Amino acid sequence: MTEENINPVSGETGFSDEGDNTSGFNYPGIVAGVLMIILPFTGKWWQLTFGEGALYIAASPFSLSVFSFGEEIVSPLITSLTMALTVITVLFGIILIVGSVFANMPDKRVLSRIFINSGSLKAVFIVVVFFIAVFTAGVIFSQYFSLYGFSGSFPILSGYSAMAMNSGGFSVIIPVTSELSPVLLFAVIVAVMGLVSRFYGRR
Amino acid sequence: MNEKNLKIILAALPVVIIIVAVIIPLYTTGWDAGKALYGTDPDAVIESFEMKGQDMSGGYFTPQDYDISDDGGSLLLTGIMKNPYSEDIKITKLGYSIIIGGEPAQLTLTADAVIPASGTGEVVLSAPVSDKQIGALASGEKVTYGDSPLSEMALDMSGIKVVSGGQIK
Repeated sequence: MTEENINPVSGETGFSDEGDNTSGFNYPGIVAGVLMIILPFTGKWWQLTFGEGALYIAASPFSLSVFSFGEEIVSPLITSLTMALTVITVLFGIILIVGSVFANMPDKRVLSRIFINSGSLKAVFIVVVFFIAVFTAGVIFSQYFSLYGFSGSFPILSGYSAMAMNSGGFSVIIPVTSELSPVLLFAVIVAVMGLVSRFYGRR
Repeated sequence: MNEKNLKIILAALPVVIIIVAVIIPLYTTGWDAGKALYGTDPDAVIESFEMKGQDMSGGYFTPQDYDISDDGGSLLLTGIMKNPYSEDIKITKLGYSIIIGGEPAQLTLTADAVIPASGTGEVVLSAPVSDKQIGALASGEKVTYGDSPLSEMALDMSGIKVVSGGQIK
Protein backbone atom coordinates (compact mmCIF):
# COMPACT_ATOMS: atom_id res chain seq x y z
CA MET A 1 0.00 0.00 0.00
CA THR A 2 1.42 3.38 -0.92
CA GLU A 3 1.38 6.54 1.16
CA GLU A 4 -0.95 8.43 -1.19
CA ASN A 5 -3.66 5.85 -0.71
CA ILE A 6 -4.10 6.62 2.99
CA ASN A 7 -6.88 9.03 3.88
CA PRO A 8 -5.21 11.74 5.99
CA VAL A 9 -8.44 12.38 7.93
CA SER A 10 -9.77 8.95 8.68
CA GLY A 11 -6.66 6.98 8.16
CA GLU A 12 -8.64 4.60 6.03
CA THR A 13 -7.21 3.14 2.94
CA GLY A 14 -7.91 4.80 -0.35
CA PHE A 15 -8.71 3.06 -3.61
CA SER A 16 -6.13 0.36 -3.52
CA ASP A 17 -6.94 -2.99 -2.08
CA GLU A 18 -4.70 -5.20 -0.12
CA GLY A 19 -4.34 -8.88 0.40
CA ASP A 20 -5.81 -10.98 -2.34
CA ASN A 21 -4.22 -10.22 -5.64
CA THR A 22 -6.41 -12.59 -7.57
CA SER A 23 -8.35 -10.53 -10.04
CA GLY A 24 -10.03 -10.63 -13.39
CA PHE A 25 -12.31 -8.60 -15.53
CA ASN A 26 -15.89 -8.43 -14.43
CA TYR A 27 -17.22 -9.71 -17.75
CA PRO A 28 -20.95 -9.45 -16.88
CA GLY A 29 -20.26 -5.86 -15.89
CA ILE A 30 -18.60 -5.07 -19.21
CA VAL A 31 -21.52 -6.63 -21.10
CA ALA A 32 -24.09 -4.87 -18.90
CA GLY A 33 -22.27 -1.55 -19.36
CA VAL A 34 -22.23 -1.85 -23.14
CA LEU A 35 -25.92 -2.84 -23.15
CA MET A 36 -26.75 0.10 -20.88
CA ILE A 37 -25.15 2.47 -23.39
CA ILE A 38 -27.23 0.91 -26.19
CA LEU A 39 -30.48 0.67 -24.18
CA PRO A 40 -31.72 4.30 -24.51
CA PHE A 41 -31.55 4.08 -28.29
CA THR A 42 -33.49 0.86 -28.78
CA GLY A 43 -36.95 2.40 -29.10
CA LYS A 44 -40.20 2.41 -27.19
CA TRP A 45 -41.03 -0.15 -24.54
CA TRP A 46 -44.80 0.18 -24.38
CA GLN A 47 -47.57 1.43 -26.67
CA LEU A 48 -51.16 2.31 -25.94
CA THR A 49 -53.69 3.12 -28.65
CA PHE A 50 -57.28 4.31 -28.39
CA GLY A 51 -59.44 3.85 -31.47
CA GLU A 52 -57.67 4.24 -34.76
CA GLY A 53 -55.15 6.83 -33.69
CA ALA A 54 -57.53 8.84 -31.52
CA LEU A 55 -54.83 8.73 -28.89
CA TYR A 56 -51.48 7.05 -29.30
CA ILE A 57 -48.89 6.81 -26.57
CA ALA A 58 -45.49 5.21 -27.03
CA ALA A 59 -43.25 5.30 -24.03
CA SER A 60 -39.93 4.24 -22.65
CA PRO A 61 -37.94 5.82 -19.83
CA PHE A 62 -35.89 7.54 -22.52
CA SER A 63 -38.60 8.99 -24.72
CA LEU A 64 -42.32 9.61 -24.79
CA SER A 65 -44.46 10.17 -27.89
CA VAL A 66 -48.08 11.23 -27.59
CA PHE A 67 -50.26 11.72 -30.65
CA SER A 68 -53.86 12.83 -30.46
CA PHE A 69 -55.69 12.54 -33.78
CA GLY A 70 -52.42 12.70 -35.63
CA GLU A 71 -51.14 15.76 -33.81
CA GLU A 72 -48.10 15.30 -31.63
CA ILE A 73 -48.21 16.65 -28.12
CA VAL A 74 -44.72 17.52 -26.95
CA SER A 75 -43.90 18.29 -23.36
CA PRO A 76 -40.57 20.09 -22.87
CA LEU A 77 -40.43 18.92 -19.27
CA ILE A 78 -40.98 15.25 -20.09
CA THR A 79 -38.53 15.51 -23.00
CA SER A 80 -35.94 17.00 -20.69
CA LEU A 81 -36.48 14.31 -18.07
CA THR A 82 -36.23 11.49 -20.58
CA MET A 83 -33.02 13.03 -21.93
CA ALA A 84 -31.70 13.17 -18.37
CA LEU A 85 -32.46 9.46 -17.93
CA THR A 86 -30.65 8.79 -21.20
CA VAL A 87 -27.57 10.68 -19.97
CA ILE A 88 -27.68 8.92 -16.59
CA THR A 89 -27.98 5.48 -18.16
CA VAL A 90 -25.17 6.05 -20.66
CA LEU A 91 -22.95 7.65 -18.01
CA PHE A 92 -23.40 4.83 -15.53
CA GLY A 93 -23.00 2.31 -18.32
CA ILE A 94 -19.55 3.81 -18.91
CA ILE A 95 -18.86 3.83 -15.17
CA LEU A 96 -19.86 0.15 -14.99
CA ILE A 97 -17.51 -0.71 -17.84
CA VAL A 98 -14.65 1.20 -16.21
CA GLY A 99 -15.34 -0.51 -12.88
CA SER A 100 -15.49 -3.89 -14.54
CA VAL A 101 -12.13 -3.29 -16.24
CA PHE A 102 -10.61 -1.99 -12.99
CA ALA A 103 -11.58 -5.30 -11.41
CA ASN A 104 -8.59 -6.75 -13.21
CA MET A 105 -6.23 -4.25 -11.58
CA PRO A 106 -5.34 -5.19 -8.01
CA ASP A 107 -4.49 -1.61 -7.05
CA LYS A 108 -7.93 -0.42 -8.21
CA ARG A 109 -10.10 -3.07 -6.67
CA VAL A 110 -11.86 -0.73 -4.23
CA LEU A 111 -12.51 1.79 -6.97
CA SER A 112 -13.79 -1.03 -9.13
CA ARG A 113 -16.22 -2.14 -6.43
CA ILE A 114 -17.57 1.39 -5.99
CA PHE A 115 -18.06 1.84 -9.73
CA ILE A 116 -19.74 -1.53 -10.17
CA ASN A 117 -22.01 -1.04 -7.17
CA SER A 118 -22.90 2.38 -8.47
CA GLY A 119 -23.66 1.36 -12.05
CA SER A 120 -25.03 -2.15 -11.72
CA LEU A 121 -28.42 -1.29 -10.24
CA LYS A 122 -29.33 1.65 -12.47
CA ALA A 123 -30.91 -0.50 -15.18
CA VAL A 124 -32.80 -2.51 -12.56
CA PHE A 125 -34.10 0.69 -11.04
CA ILE A 126 -35.18 2.07 -14.42
CA VAL A 127 -37.00 -1.13 -15.41
CA VAL A 128 -38.79 -1.43 -12.06
CA VAL A 129 -39.84 2.24 -12.05
CA PHE A 130 -41.05 1.93 -15.64
CA PHE A 131 -43.24 -1.06 -14.79
CA ILE A 132 -44.69 0.79 -11.81
CA ALA A 133 -45.34 3.88 -13.97
CA VAL A 134 -47.03 1.89 -16.75
CA PHE A 135 -49.14 -0.07 -14.26
CA THR A 136 -50.17 3.14 -12.52
CA ALA A 137 -51.07 4.78 -15.85
CA GLY A 138 -53.10 1.72 -16.83
CA VAL A 139 -55.03 1.73 -13.55
CA ILE A 140 -55.77 5.45 -13.95
CA PHE A 141 -57.05 4.94 -17.52
CA SER A 142 -59.10 1.98 -16.32
CA GLN A 143 -60.68 4.05 -13.56
CA TYR A 144 -61.35 6.84 -16.06
CA PHE A 145 -63.27 4.48 -18.35
CA SER A 146 -65.24 3.04 -15.42
CA LEU A 147 -66.16 6.54 -14.35
CA TYR A 148 -67.79 7.19 -17.71
CA GLY A 149 -69.75 3.95 -17.64
CA PHE A 150 -67.60 1.91 -19.99
CA SER A 151 -67.53 -1.81 -19.47
CA GLY A 152 -64.66 -4.07 -20.40
CA SER A 153 -61.32 -5.01 -18.98
CA PHE A 154 -58.71 -2.38 -19.67
CA PRO A 155 -55.53 -3.97 -21.02
CA ILE A 156 -53.07 -2.46 -18.60
CA LEU A 157 -49.76 -3.88 -19.72
CA SER A 158 -50.57 -5.74 -22.89
CA GLY A 159 -53.65 -6.84 -24.76
CA TYR A 160 -56.76 -5.68 -26.56
CA SER A 161 -60.10 -4.70 -25.22
CA ALA A 162 -63.18 -3.12 -26.74
CA MET A 163 -64.39 -0.72 -24.09
CA ALA A 164 -68.14 -0.51 -24.56
CA MET A 165 -70.75 1.92 -23.33
CA ASN A 166 -74.47 2.08 -24.00
CA SER A 167 -75.80 5.58 -24.04
CA GLY A 168 -79.02 7.04 -25.36
CA GLY A 169 -79.97 3.86 -27.12
CA PHE A 170 -76.81 3.41 -29.12
CA SER A 171 -73.59 1.74 -28.25
CA VAL A 172 -70.11 3.13 -28.30
CA ILE A 173 -67.13 0.86 -28.64
CA ILE A 174 -63.63 2.18 -28.21
CA PRO A 175 -60.93 -0.33 -28.97
CA VAL A 176 -57.94 -0.07 -26.67
CA THR A 177 -54.72 -1.79 -27.52
CA SER A 178 -51.68 -1.88 -25.29
CA GLU A 179 -48.51 -3.61 -26.26
CA LEU A 180 -45.21 -4.33 -24.58
CA SER A 181 -42.33 -4.08 -27.02
CA PRO A 182 -39.68 -6.79 -27.35
CA VAL A 183 -37.26 -4.01 -26.42
CA LEU A 184 -38.55 -4.39 -22.87
CA LEU A 185 -37.13 -7.90 -22.83
CA PHE A 186 -33.79 -6.42 -23.83
CA ALA A 187 -34.12 -3.95 -20.94
CA VAL A 188 -34.81 -6.81 -18.52
CA ILE A 189 -31.73 -8.62 -19.81
CA VAL A 190 -29.65 -5.47 -19.22
CA ALA A 191 -31.05 -5.22 -15.68
CA VAL A 192 -30.29 -8.88 -14.99
CA MET A 193 -26.76 -8.47 -16.36
CA GLY A 194 -26.32 -5.50 -14.04
CA LEU A 195 -27.37 -7.61 -11.08
CA VAL A 196 -25.10 -10.45 -12.17
CA SER A 197 -22.16 -8.06 -12.44
CA ARG A 198 -22.78 -6.92 -8.88
CA PHE A 199 -22.65 -10.43 -7.48
CA TYR A 200 -19.92 -11.50 -9.88
CA GLY A 201 -17.72 -8.82 -8.38
CA ARG A 202 -18.27 -10.18 -4.89
CA ARG A 203 -17.43 -13.75 -5.63
CA MET B 1 -10.64 11.77 -3.11
CA ASN B 2 -11.42 8.94 -0.77
CA GLU B 3 -13.93 6.15 -1.04
CA LYS B 4 -16.65 7.91 0.92
CA ASN B 5 -16.50 11.08 -1.17
CA LEU B 6 -16.62 9.13 -4.40
CA LYS B 7 -19.67 7.20 -3.22
CA ILE B 8 -21.42 10.46 -2.34
CA ILE B 9 -20.58 11.98 -5.73
CA LEU B 10 -21.82 8.93 -7.64
CA ALA B 11 -25.01 8.81 -5.58
CA ALA B 12 -25.67 12.52 -6.02
CA LEU B 13 -24.90 12.65 -9.74
CA PRO B 14 -28.26 11.26 -11.01
CA VAL B 15 -30.13 13.52 -8.62
CA VAL B 16 -28.21 16.57 -9.88
CA ILE B 17 -28.87 15.60 -13.51
CA ILE B 18 -32.61 15.18 -12.83
CA ILE B 19 -32.77 18.53 -11.02
CA VAL B 20 -31.02 20.24 -13.93
CA ALA B 21 -33.42 18.51 -16.34
CA VAL B 22 -36.37 19.95 -14.43
CA ILE B 23 -34.87 23.42 -14.11
CA ILE B 24 -33.92 23.90 -17.81
CA PRO B 25 -37.45 23.70 -19.30
CA LEU B 26 -38.84 25.74 -16.42
CA TYR B 27 -36.18 28.40 -16.98
CA THR B 28 -36.64 28.50 -20.75
CA THR B 29 -40.40 28.95 -20.33
CA GLY B 30 -40.04 31.75 -17.79
CA TRP B 31 -40.76 29.49 -14.80
CA ASP B 32 -44.20 28.69 -16.18
CA ALA B 33 -44.93 25.10 -15.11
CA GLY B 34 -47.87 24.84 -17.51
CA LYS B 35 -45.78 25.81 -20.51
CA ALA B 36 -42.96 23.54 -19.41
CA LEU B 37 -45.36 20.61 -19.16
CA TYR B 38 -47.58 21.18 -22.19
CA GLY B 39 -45.36 23.08 -24.61
CA THR B 40 -45.31 26.63 -25.84
CA ASP B 41 -49.08 26.99 -26.09
CA PRO B 42 -50.54 24.96 -23.23
CA ASP B 43 -54.05 26.42 -23.56
CA ALA B 44 -54.34 25.31 -27.17
CA VAL B 45 -53.04 21.85 -26.37
CA ILE B 46 -55.38 21.37 -23.43
CA GLU B 47 -58.36 22.77 -25.36
CA SER B 48 -57.69 20.60 -28.36
CA PHE B 49 -56.96 17.53 -26.28
CA GLU B 50 -60.02 17.88 -24.08
CA MET B 51 -62.34 18.50 -26.97
CA LYS B 52 -61.15 15.54 -28.90
CA GLY B 53 -61.10 13.44 -25.78
CA GLN B 54 -64.71 14.26 -25.07
CA ASP B 55 -65.73 13.51 -28.63
CA MET B 56 -64.22 10.07 -28.18
CA SER B 57 -66.98 9.17 -25.74
CA GLY B 58 -69.54 9.59 -28.49
CA GLY B 59 -71.92 11.09 -25.97
CA TYR B 60 -71.77 14.45 -27.64
CA PHE B 61 -73.35 13.29 -30.83
CA THR B 62 -76.78 11.71 -30.78
CA PRO B 63 -78.19 10.31 -34.02
CA GLN B 64 -81.75 11.47 -34.65
CA ASP B 65 -82.83 10.49 -38.11
CA TYR B 66 -81.52 9.25 -41.37
CA ASP B 67 -82.44 9.43 -45.01
CA ILE B 68 -81.16 8.05 -48.25
CA SER B 69 -80.13 10.48 -50.91
CA ASP B 70 -82.23 10.75 -54.06
CA ASP B 71 -79.70 8.85 -56.10
CA GLY B 72 -79.68 6.11 -53.47
CA GLY B 73 -75.94 6.18 -53.07
CA SER B 74 -75.55 8.04 -49.77
CA LEU B 75 -76.82 7.89 -46.25
CA LEU B 76 -77.67 11.24 -44.72
CA LEU B 77 -77.59 11.11 -40.95
CA THR B 78 -78.98 13.95 -38.88
CA GLY B 79 -77.82 14.20 -35.31
CA ILE B 80 -77.71 16.51 -32.35
CA MET B 81 -74.34 17.71 -31.20
CA LYS B 82 -73.78 18.94 -27.68
CA ASN B 83 -71.41 21.80 -26.94
CA PRO B 84 -69.90 21.34 -23.49
CA TYR B 85 -68.10 24.68 -23.64
CA SER B 86 -69.21 28.07 -22.46
CA GLU B 87 -68.43 29.55 -25.87
CA ASP B 88 -70.00 28.94 -29.24
CA ILE B 89 -68.08 26.45 -31.33
CA LYS B 90 -68.01 25.99 -35.05
CA ILE B 91 -67.77 22.39 -36.13
CA THR B 92 -65.75 22.25 -39.30
CA LYS B 93 -64.77 18.63 -39.30
CA LEU B 94 -66.55 15.67 -37.81
CA GLY B 95 -66.69 12.06 -38.71
CA TYR B 96 -67.58 8.62 -37.49
CA SER B 97 -66.84 5.26 -38.90
CA ILE B 98 -69.96 3.15 -38.46
CA ILE B 99 -70.97 -0.37 -39.38
CA ILE B 100 -74.10 -0.85 -41.43
CA GLY B 101 -75.08 -4.32 -42.51
CA GLY B 102 -71.70 -5.62 -41.47
CA GLU B 103 -69.84 -3.16 -43.66
CA PRO B 104 -68.15 0.05 -42.61
CA ALA B 105 -69.41 3.42 -43.73
CA GLN B 106 -67.48 6.64 -43.25
CA LEU B 107 -69.71 9.45 -42.16
CA THR B 108 -68.42 12.95 -42.80
CA LEU B 109 -69.79 16.39 -42.09
CA THR B 110 -71.81 17.84 -44.96
CA ALA B 111 -71.58 21.48 -43.88
CA ASP B 112 -70.08 23.55 -41.09
CA ALA B 113 -72.34 23.86 -38.08
CA VAL B 114 -72.35 26.37 -35.25
CA ILE B 115 -73.28 24.96 -31.86
CA PRO B 116 -74.24 27.56 -29.28
CA ALA B 117 -72.44 27.73 -25.95
CA SER B 118 -73.55 24.96 -23.57
CA GLY B 119 -76.30 24.11 -26.01
CA THR B 120 -77.06 21.74 -28.82
CA GLY B 121 -77.23 22.06 -32.57
CA GLU B 122 -78.08 19.94 -35.53
CA VAL B 123 -75.39 18.48 -37.73
CA VAL B 124 -75.79 16.45 -40.87
CA LEU B 125 -73.37 13.71 -41.83
CA SER B 126 -73.29 11.72 -45.01
CA ALA B 127 -71.66 8.48 -46.07
CA PRO B 128 -71.62 6.61 -49.35
CA VAL B 129 -73.44 3.32 -48.88
CA SER B 130 -73.82 0.16 -50.89
CA ASP B 131 -77.05 -1.54 -51.91
CA LYS B 132 -76.47 -4.12 -49.20
CA GLN B 133 -76.17 -1.39 -46.58
CA ILE B 134 -79.31 0.30 -47.84
CA GLY B 135 -81.05 -3.04 -47.59
CA ALA B 136 -79.88 -3.39 -44.00
CA LEU B 137 -81.11 0.09 -43.19
CA ALA B 138 -84.47 -0.65 -44.68
CA SER B 139 -84.80 -4.06 -43.11
CA GLY B 140 -87.32 -3.09 -40.48
CA GLU B 141 -87.23 -3.67 -36.79
CA LYS B 142 -83.58 -3.04 -36.19
CA VAL B 143 -83.80 0.48 -37.44
CA THR B 144 -87.05 1.52 -35.95
CA TYR B 145 -87.35 2.37 -32.31
CA GLY B 146 -89.85 4.94 -31.15
CA ASP B 147 -89.08 8.28 -32.65
CA SER B 148 -85.37 7.55 -33.06
CA PRO B 149 -84.99 5.41 -36.12
CA LEU B 150 -81.30 4.79 -35.58
CA SER B 151 -81.33 4.19 -31.87
CA GLU B 152 -81.53 0.43 -32.14
CA MET B 153 -78.92 0.26 -34.82
CA ALA B 154 -75.63 -0.37 -33.13
CA LEU B 155 -73.28 2.43 -33.99
CA ASP B 156 -70.02 0.59 -33.77
CA MET B 157 -67.57 3.41 -33.37
CA SER B 158 -64.57 1.17 -33.24
CA GLY B 159 -63.34 3.08 -36.23
CA ILE B 160 -63.40 6.42 -34.48
CA LYS B 161 -60.61 8.34 -36.03
CA VAL B 162 -61.83 11.70 -37.02
CA VAL B 163 -63.91 13.94 -34.91
CA SER B 164 -63.48 17.51 -34.42
CA GLY B 165 -61.87 20.34 -36.12
CA GLY B 166 -64.03 22.34 -33.84
CA GLN B 167 -62.97 25.93 -33.47
CA ILE B 168 -63.90 28.31 -30.75
CA LYS B 169 -65.61 31.13 -32.59
